[in-house]
Amino acid sequence: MEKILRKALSGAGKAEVFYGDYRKAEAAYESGKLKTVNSVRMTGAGLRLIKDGRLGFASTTDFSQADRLVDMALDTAAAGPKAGFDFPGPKSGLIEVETIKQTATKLGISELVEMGAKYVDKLKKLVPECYPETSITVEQSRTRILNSSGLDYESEGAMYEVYFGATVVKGSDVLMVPAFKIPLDDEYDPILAAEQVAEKLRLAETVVDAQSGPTTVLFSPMGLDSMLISIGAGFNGKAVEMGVSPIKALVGKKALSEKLTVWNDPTVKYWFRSGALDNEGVPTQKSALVDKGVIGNPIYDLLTADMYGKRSTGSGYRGSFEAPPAISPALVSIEPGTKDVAELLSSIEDGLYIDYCLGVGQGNYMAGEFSNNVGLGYRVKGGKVVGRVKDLMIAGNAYDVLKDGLVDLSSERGFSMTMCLAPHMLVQGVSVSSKK
Amino acid sequence: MDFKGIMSAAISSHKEKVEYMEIRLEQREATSLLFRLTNVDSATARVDLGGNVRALVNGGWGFAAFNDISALDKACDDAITSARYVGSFIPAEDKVRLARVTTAYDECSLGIKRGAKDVSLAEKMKVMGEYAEILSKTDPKVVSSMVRYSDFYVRKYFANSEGAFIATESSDMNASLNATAMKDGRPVEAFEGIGSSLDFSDLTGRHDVARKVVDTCVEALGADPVKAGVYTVVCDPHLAGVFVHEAFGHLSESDFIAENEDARKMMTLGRRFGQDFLNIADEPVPEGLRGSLKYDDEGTPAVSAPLITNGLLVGRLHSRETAARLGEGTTGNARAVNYRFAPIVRMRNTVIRPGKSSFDDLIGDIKLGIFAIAAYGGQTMIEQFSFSSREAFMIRDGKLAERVRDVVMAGNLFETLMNIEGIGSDFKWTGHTGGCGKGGQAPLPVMMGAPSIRIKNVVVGGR
Repeated sequence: MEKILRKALSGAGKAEVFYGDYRKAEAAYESGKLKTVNSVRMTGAGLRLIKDGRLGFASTTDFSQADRLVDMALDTAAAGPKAGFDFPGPKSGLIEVETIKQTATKLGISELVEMGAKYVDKLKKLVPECYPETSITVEQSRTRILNSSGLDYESEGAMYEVYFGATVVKGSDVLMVPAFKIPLDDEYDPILAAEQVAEKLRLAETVVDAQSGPTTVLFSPMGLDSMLISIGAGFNGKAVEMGVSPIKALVGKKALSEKLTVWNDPTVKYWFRSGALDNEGVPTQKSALVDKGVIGNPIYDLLTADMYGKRSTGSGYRGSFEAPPAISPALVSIEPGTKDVAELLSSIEDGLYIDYCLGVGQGNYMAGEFSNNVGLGYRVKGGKVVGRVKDLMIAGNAYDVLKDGLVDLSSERGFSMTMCLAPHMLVQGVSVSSKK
Repeated sequence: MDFKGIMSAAISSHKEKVEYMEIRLEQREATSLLFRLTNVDSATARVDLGGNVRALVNGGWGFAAFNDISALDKACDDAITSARYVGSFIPAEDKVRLARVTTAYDECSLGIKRGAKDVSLAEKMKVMGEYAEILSKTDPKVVSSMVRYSDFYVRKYFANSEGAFIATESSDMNASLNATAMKDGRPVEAFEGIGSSLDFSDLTGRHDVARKVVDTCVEALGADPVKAGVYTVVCDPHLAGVFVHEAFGHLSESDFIAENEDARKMMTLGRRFGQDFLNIADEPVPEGLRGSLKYDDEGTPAVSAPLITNGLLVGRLHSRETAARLGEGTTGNARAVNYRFAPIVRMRNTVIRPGKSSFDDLIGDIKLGIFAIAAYGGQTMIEQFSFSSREAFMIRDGKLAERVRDVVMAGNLFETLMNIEGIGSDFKWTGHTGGCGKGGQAPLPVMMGAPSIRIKNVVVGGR
C-alpha cells in the first residue's frame, strides 16, 4: 500500500489508497437439496489521486502491476472531475462501533450446511408439498485507507445473512415466498424461520379476488421497498444540487407524516457500514433525514460537497475497492411504532397485506412514483388474512402516500431488500388495479 | 502469463480426487465515464485478474474464487474439500451428473473491429461530451442530464478435467443518455441506450439519439400518469423483447424445474402456451450481439434453443447438470457474469419470431388501449411478472392519441402469453445496454429480438 501511495505521489499532488480484503463463504440449498458450498476471496486496491486539480481513479486486483495502476489513475485524472478538496487527515477521539459479529466468525462449512439442513427439514415437515430454498452467507472484510494527508485507518467487519424461502407449484399456480434475515443484535434461528415461512404458505393456500380502487395496505419491510428506494434516493446530495430531487424544495418543511422519523445511522452495531469514519476517512454522524415528518438535510461525500460548496456529511461509501466512493447513507433506519404487526393487521376492515413487490426501482422512483405487480400479497377482511391475491398492481407516489396515507408503524423491524431497517407500515389510499 | 500451463498443471495434480473439475481464469480491463450536464463527474479505470475452481466430488459441488493467481492450488483444495463435504450429504438419487459434451480445444476471437482498448480515454470523452452538450443545452426545460459510458474487454480461459481448453474474448461498450425536467417539484425523465460489442464506431455519430432523449423528456412533461385499468397493449419491439425475456425466458431456465417435480409437470413439453402464431427461441447467434457466444462458461458448444414453436412448449435452456437431470440435450446456457460466480442457467439472445401484421393492423381495431414503447425494466417470480415502459401513448379508436407516463404492467405467465393476439413484422434487436440479473449475478449481457406485439387484458397500474 505504502509503495503504491509513494508512487502515486511522485506523479500527483494528493493521493489515497483504499485496500480491501473480502472473504465470503456460502452454503446453498436449491429445491430442498444441498447444492453447493462456495468460497470467495477477493483482495485489491483502489487508487484516487488529484493531479492539476482533477480527480482520477483506478483499481486493480493484480498487485504485480502497481506501476500500471498509477499510470491508469493519472490517465483518468486528465479526464476526471475538478477536485478542490484534500483527503482528510487523522482524527483523534473517534468513537468506534463494533462491526465484528463474533458468531459470524465461528461459522465454518459444517455450521453453514447444518443451519440450512435444519431449516429445510423443519419446513418440509410443516409443509410437505413445498420446496424450501435457503442460503447462508458469511462475509468478512478488512479494509484500510491510506492517504497523503497522513490518514492510515483500518477497519474490520464480520456478519452473516440468510436467505430462506419456499416454492409451491400446484397445477399452474406458482407461489414463491421470499424471506431473508441479517442478524444484528440477535441470531438467525432456522426453526423459527421455517415456522414463519410455513405460516406465510398457509395463509396463501387459497387465492382470493382483490378489489380495484383506493385500498388500506399493511406493508412488510420488503413490501415497502418501492417507496423506500424513492426516499433514500431523494436525500442524495448530488440529486438535490442538480435540482432533480423533490427533497430540494422540502428541506426544513413538514412534508411527510409526523409519524415518520427516518435516520441515517452509522452507529448500528454489526452493520457493515457502521463506523466512526466513512470510506473516505470523514467522520460520520447519526442524522435525521426525516424528523417527525420534517425533511432534514441531504447527504454528501467529499467530491460532491466540494463541487457545490457544502461539507461532506461522512456519506462516501464504496461497494469495494473497485469503484470510487459514492454518496450513500450508512444505514436508513426508520423509527418503529408501538403496536405489533398482529395488532395493525387486525385493525384492517378490508384491505391488503403486501410482503413483496415486483419491479422495484424500474420506473421514475426519483419522483416518488411507484407502480408494482404484487409478488406476494394477501387480502385482509375483518382483521384476518383470507387468502392470497394475484394479478393486481399497486400504484402511488411515495411522497404523497407517506404524507397523507400513513396510519401507523409496527414495533418490530426488519430489513427491506433495499437494505433499510424498517417497521411494517399501515397505509391508506393506495391505488389498486385488478382484473376483477 | 502462461495461463494454459498453470491451469493444466493444477488440473493434473488434482484430477484424481474428483469426478470433474474446471478452472476459469479471467483478465479484464474496464473504463467508465460519467457526465452530469457537461461536467465530468467521474472517470475510472479497472484491471481485474482472477479465477475460480469448481469441483464435483461424489455428486456434490464445491466452488472457490480468488484473485491471487499464485493461490490457484489452494483454491483447488478448497473447492475439492467443499465438494467432498457437500457430496457426503447427497443421497444416491440426487447426485449431480453432467451431460456429455464434445470436448473442445479452441481459441476464439470475437472479431473486434475497434474495441474498448483501441480507443483512447480522450476520444471516449470527446464523443460522450458531445452528447452531454446536446442533452444539457438543447432545451432550457431540461434541468439535469447524464451520459454514463462504460466498457470492458475480457479474455477468458477455461480448462476442465475432461481435457477441454478454451480461450475466448468478450467485449462490451455502452452508454446511457438521460435527461430530466421538473414538473411541480418532481422529476420527469427520459433515457436511451447505445452500445456495441465489436465497434466503438457504433457509438459515434449518435447525436440524433441525444436529441430524441431531450424531445421525449420535454414531451413527457405534458403527459399525465396513466389511469389504472385493464387494457389492450401494443408493445414496440424493445418492450416486447423485455416482455418475452421476463414472461418466458426465465421460466425456460431449467434450474427452476430440474429439482422440482411439480414445476416439471407444469412445464411438460407439448403444453400449449400461446396461439399457433407464437414462436419463441433463445439464440447464441448472430455473431457480435451481446448475448452471442460459441461456448458457454462450462465449455459447452452453444446451439439454438427453440422454446415455443407454433404455440407449444418444445424445449428449454440447460447447463450440463440440468440437461443430465432432465435427460435432454445441452444448449450451452450455463453462464457466469464473472469469475467470482459459478455458471448458472441464463439466457443469451431471446427472440419472438416476426409475424405478418403491420403496425396499423395491430392498433387498427383497438377502441381504447395503450401503445407502450421501450422498456424501463422487468422482473419475474415465474408465474407473476412485471414489465414497465419508458414511453407510452393512448390508443383511441384505432389511432395513436395523447402521451401518458408511468405505464407499468402486470403479467401472468399462463394468461398473458395466451393473450398475445397479434405479432408484427417489424423485428428488431434490442438490449444494447444494461443486462439481466439472477442469483446476485448482474448485469449479464443479453439481448432480445422481437417485433411489435399486441396483448389483450393487461393489468396496468396507476391512479
